[in-house]
Amino acid sequence: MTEQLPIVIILGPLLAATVAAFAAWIHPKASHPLVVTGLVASFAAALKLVFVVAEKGAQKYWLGGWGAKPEHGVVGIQITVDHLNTLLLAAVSGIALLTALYAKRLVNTELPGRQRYFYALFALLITGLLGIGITGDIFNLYVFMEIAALSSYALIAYGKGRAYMAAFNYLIMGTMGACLYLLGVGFVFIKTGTLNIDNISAALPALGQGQALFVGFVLILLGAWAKMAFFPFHGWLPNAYTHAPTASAVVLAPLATKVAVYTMLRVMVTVYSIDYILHSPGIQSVVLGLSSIAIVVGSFFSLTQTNLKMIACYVVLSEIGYMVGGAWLANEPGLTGAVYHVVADAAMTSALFMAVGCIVYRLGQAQLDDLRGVFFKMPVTMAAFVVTMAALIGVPPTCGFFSKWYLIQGAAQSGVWHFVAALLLSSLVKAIILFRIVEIGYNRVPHPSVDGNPAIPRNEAPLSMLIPTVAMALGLIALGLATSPLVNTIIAKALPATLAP
Amino acid sequence: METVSSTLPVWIVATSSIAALLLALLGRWPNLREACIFGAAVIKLGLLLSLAPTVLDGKRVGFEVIELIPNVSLAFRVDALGLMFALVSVSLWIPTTIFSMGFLRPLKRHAQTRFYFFFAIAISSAVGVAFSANLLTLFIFYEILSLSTYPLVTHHQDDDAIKGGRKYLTYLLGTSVALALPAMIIVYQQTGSLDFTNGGVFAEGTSSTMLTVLLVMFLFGFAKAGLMPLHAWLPGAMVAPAPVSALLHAVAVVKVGVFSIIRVLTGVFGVERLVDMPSLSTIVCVLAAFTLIVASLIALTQDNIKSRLAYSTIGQLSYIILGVGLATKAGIAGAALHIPMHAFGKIPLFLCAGAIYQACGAKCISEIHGLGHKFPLTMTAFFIGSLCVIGLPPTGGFISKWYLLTGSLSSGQQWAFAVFLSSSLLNAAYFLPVIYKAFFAKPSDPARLAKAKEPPPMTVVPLFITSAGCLLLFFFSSELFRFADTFAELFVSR
Amino acid sequence: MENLIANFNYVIVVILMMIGLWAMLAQKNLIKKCIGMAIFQTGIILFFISIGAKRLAKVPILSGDGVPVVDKIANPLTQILMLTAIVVGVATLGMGLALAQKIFRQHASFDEDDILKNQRK
Repeated sequence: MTEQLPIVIILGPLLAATVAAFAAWIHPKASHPLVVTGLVASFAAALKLVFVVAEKGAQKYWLGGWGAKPEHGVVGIQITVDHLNTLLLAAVSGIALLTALYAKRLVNTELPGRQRYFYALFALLITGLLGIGITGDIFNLYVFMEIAALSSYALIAYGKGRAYMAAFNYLIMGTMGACLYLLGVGFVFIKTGTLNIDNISAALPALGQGQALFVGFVLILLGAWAKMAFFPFHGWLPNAYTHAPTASAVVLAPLATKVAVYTMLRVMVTVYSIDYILHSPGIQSVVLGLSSIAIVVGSFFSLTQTNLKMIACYVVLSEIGYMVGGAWLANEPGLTGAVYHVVADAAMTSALFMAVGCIVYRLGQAQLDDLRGVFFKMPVTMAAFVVTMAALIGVPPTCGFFSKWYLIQGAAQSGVWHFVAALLLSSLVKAIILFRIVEIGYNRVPHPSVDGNPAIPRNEAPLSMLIPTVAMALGLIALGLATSPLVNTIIAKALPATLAP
Repeated sequence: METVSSTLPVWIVATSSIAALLLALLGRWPNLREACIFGAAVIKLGLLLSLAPTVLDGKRVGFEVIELIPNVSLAFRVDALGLMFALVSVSLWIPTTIFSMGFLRPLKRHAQTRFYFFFAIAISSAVGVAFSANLLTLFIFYEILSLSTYPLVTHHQDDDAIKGGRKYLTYLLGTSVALALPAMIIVYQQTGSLDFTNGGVFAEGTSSTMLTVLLVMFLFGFAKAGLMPLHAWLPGAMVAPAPVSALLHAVAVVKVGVFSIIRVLTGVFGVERLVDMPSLSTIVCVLAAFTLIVASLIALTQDNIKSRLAYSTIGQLSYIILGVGLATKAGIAGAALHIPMHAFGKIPLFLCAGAIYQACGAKCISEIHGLGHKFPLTMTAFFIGSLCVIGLPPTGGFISKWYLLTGSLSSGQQWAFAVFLSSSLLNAAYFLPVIYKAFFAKPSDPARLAKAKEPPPMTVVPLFITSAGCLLLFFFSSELFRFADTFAELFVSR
Repeated sequence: MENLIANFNYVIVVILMMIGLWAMLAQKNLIKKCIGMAIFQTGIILFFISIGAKRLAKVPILSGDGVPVVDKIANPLTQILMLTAIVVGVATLGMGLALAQKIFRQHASFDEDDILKNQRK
């Protein structure tokens, strides 16, 4: 049974998407439970595989049995669950499941009469994201990337007003990224004659430092950066996620960018190798510089915004810099931090967007000035929001603290002080944002328990949204407390053995 | 040294957090709510005292909760210094709560449940800091303390409170994230361990530049200790209600800062290293001595009672840092002893500031000229508290200053002796005139004179409990000294 | 120069891609952006096809009489890949055009500057 689990991860949402599209045609309400069922199957399989991988090591699965026998050679597509992606798969499917439950009320109010295909697109997006995470074939990865991208363009274009233009810009940028990636795959294919990640990584060391390989590497990276909105390719993200319907933003913001970061990590760690990166030091220092700039730029723009959704988007941008920078430190703590932060950040941004979604659901918008008294109106949501921001700031014992811990340790080890400074600066900026919101939402109103002040009516978000939000926020603390076992049993084994101290 | 494994430290830390949750639920019934606090405080105190014999025996009580990152756990370990600090914070929690009841209830202050809730959380985290076995655990509780006291500082929710709260967080969160956190990570990256070890964690031959940079980062990173120039948050935090200023900004929060620095100096750097590398010890001493003198001078100029007390606190905290920086046995013991002595001395002063406000609505010293005889009990408590802070017998402050002075002589740093003495004179210069003027100066405001009267018993009783504490500590100082001595013995024999 | 002529397929591919990229990034007209995207993708498809091609090679169909001579048949893998890429390309182009149409209905213009001006109102 265990050997079939990897395929269940993508089959769950894929089948759900297909069936839900038809079911919506027959009965509009049928699609939501179907998608949830598919995601439950996927999450259960992914969770089980975390334990299997931790115990037995990587699980490989050959689609259709092609390639399972050595005489088949490189024919066929392999999917792999190993130490590098198992946590990501569990996080993506888990967050997707919670978001699907969370989004129901939002979709009903934001997209009345148009919710039919939303869930099918949602499931398709998750299929694409999980596919990127699980595939062991770099061309297959491109296909999944485009599945995810196409459904996310549609999900964003569901929004009102500027959403179409934002989706169009995202489409241009996303397609460019995917094409660059594909071109890079072509270069790798010319040199190695295979698309299977295992085979490529076996073949590459013998090929040395060829120019074609280097060009392929850079092209693949550029593609991944465009997809993850890494500085300077970040222009599309804030508009796209702000103007998208909240239900779409809640799923896209945490997952889409993280999966792109995973693509980069996979290419750096498994396809090419860390040695390869260390032997091209010029580009390493450039990327580290860009990461610091991404963090600083994201942080400062988030300070200047007055819309809560916009702030959240720029926070996502600065977090991207964390992961790229951590990966390019190319040492043990830095990579540990990057791999850990992919999961931690997916959880943190998910919780952040969920809390913001609750606020938008009740208040109708999310301008900072309109948040007066929000702490009295929605105490539970705001408690979750504060925990989430604390995680983003890096307050122990939330997961954000530990990723920052590893990243700073890695930067200190390599002596990249500008990266340390950028990390700390971004922490402080997020603290400023949090307390600005606390001041507006809590302190700037006359306290209702004082005589004569009107009571602010309690108007909490509905339970179907509140429970996932609170669960996510508590998950941040749980993830933080589980850092040591996760790092010891899984993440440490995902890194190349040459890095061990 | 032997470490006894027991879950007791975890429970002691958790008691007041559990109480916080309970009292949040009991918010509608004020009597039950406050009974809950007393219950928790008594239980906590009892548990703490039950640890005392083991700890005084030279053993430590430890427990490892969960491993957070490889080789570093969320772990508690109670030694003499930690236990003494916890005892002081918890025992002062009781009179402060009585005072809060007298102070908040008659004024129908808003959000009392929130006030008590965060107060209890703050006590939990202060005890958590006291019991931390490694730098990471300490840092975690340190941050929780900063965050949980923010709602207390901004309690009044007016513009002043918001401004003070902003300053509070900027200083405390900013320095801990920007300085203490990277310093801690560098220590971990260099040594692979964050446990407090008597001889320090650094290997022989660690470059002195690195050590100096780390030391400065730690000293300023734990800005709760109020070393100049990162002291401005403390006068800003005086916008908080009087009980908060009393327990948190004279005892728990500020002492946590000093305590963290003591831990870093003794457990991370190691006293031996301070002795071997005089440059390190000099940095500590010079920073502390500078703060000591300058803060006392500024205190002279303050008219607002609470600001004067705040600057006095900043100066007294540096006594402790300077004592440890001297790296002699008497110095360390004196520094450790100064934690409870100053706490017991400063608390009646702050409570008096609150009581005076309640008695006649005055916040400044110039406003209470000649009003002393209207509330003699309050002013008597103020007098005893001042004696203790100045360091005159028969109060506990005398004992700790005695050891600090002995320590400065035995270290051979005579200038520290002079600094201690001159600062004590300054202390007398900014406290005694307050009392003189309150009783003998001509009343400045007849309207206020007519209105002034002794505050209600709920306010006055805690004043007397705490100032009686100052006197008792003088006569029973040997009990407390055993704690300080057990702690100091770990490090230096000379 | 000889190098360029020998690798004329790459030269053409690069020229196509540059045209496409320029149109995607520098053109203000949304339809032209879509066209640029299509050209860019076509360039990549040609690139893949040309790396799988061999001189005088046959269609890669197994005829049943033993092991095929690898030198004499075109690499089937690149062609299969490009079938998929073409499908993806068509879908993206369709999506792009559909969005452009929606935008046109909203703002009565395909010009980026006009649309931005319109949005600020």
